[in-house]
Amino acid sequence: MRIEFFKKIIVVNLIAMSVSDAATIEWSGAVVNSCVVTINNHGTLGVAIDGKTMSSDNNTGGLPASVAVMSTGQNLLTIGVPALTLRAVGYTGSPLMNTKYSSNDGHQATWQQTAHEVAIQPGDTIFDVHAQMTDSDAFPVGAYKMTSDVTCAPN
Amino acid sequence: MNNILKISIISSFLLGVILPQSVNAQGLTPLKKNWRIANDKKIFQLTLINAYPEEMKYELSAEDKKTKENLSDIKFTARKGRIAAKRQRKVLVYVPVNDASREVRICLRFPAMEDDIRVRVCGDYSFVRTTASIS
Repeated sequence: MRIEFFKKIIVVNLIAMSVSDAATIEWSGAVVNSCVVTINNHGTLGVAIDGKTMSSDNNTGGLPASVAVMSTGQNLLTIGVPALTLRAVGYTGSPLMNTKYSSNDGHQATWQQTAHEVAIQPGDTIFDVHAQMTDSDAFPVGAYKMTSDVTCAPN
Repeated sequence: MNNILKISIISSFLLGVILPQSVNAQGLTPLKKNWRIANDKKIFQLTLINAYPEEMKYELSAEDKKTKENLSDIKFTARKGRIAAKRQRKVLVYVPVNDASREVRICLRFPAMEDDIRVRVCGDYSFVRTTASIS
């Protein structure tokens, strides 16, 4: 009688062990919408031979600014209207200023004076941002800088 | 047998609950959040991330989401500061909500990286007071 009882206990324990061997474990996580914008390099404006255009795209020595965007959500990247933040002494003109961009994710835009708005998909996107300014009179000798705000914000 | 199965199921459930909810987010986060609040203020936490390989000075600013007007009544535990290379920093934000609702945009800048490109990462946050809290 007692032996039978212990046999039943052993059988129950074996079943319990086999059931517990099949237990599942889980790993939980959540992705929060975020955006990181990194400036890989700033741009350089090259000067046209006639001195009337400074451009990161069309002239010798011109280089685009490179901006990397790492986004976990569908966000909006805004490339703001460019401003002339440094000009040669004596230059009082109001040049026509434009920007354009392209990306490794297929984004493409042509020159425009107004702000660009780009829908960002989750993942890493690298943008080449070009700037250009033109004046009907040649730019005087000196240093110039075009500046643009780049903002990543929820769409 | 049934009890054993129950124990197994409950154990699996508890394991799922107890495991840390790891969030491997980068950048300013959360980028968007809507709250219903029961009083006239909200304090929440933002995580600022420095993805650069060197320490960075940062600046936070707050503006009205629609008018873009700078807001001086929004307070931060550290509006300006430093973040070590490849590290995060948590900042508390205090937002008074005197009307029935409010929408604000908070932006993060790294002034040292600004030259021809001035980068801002911004989050949008909205607050709606419950009816009981207004009356």
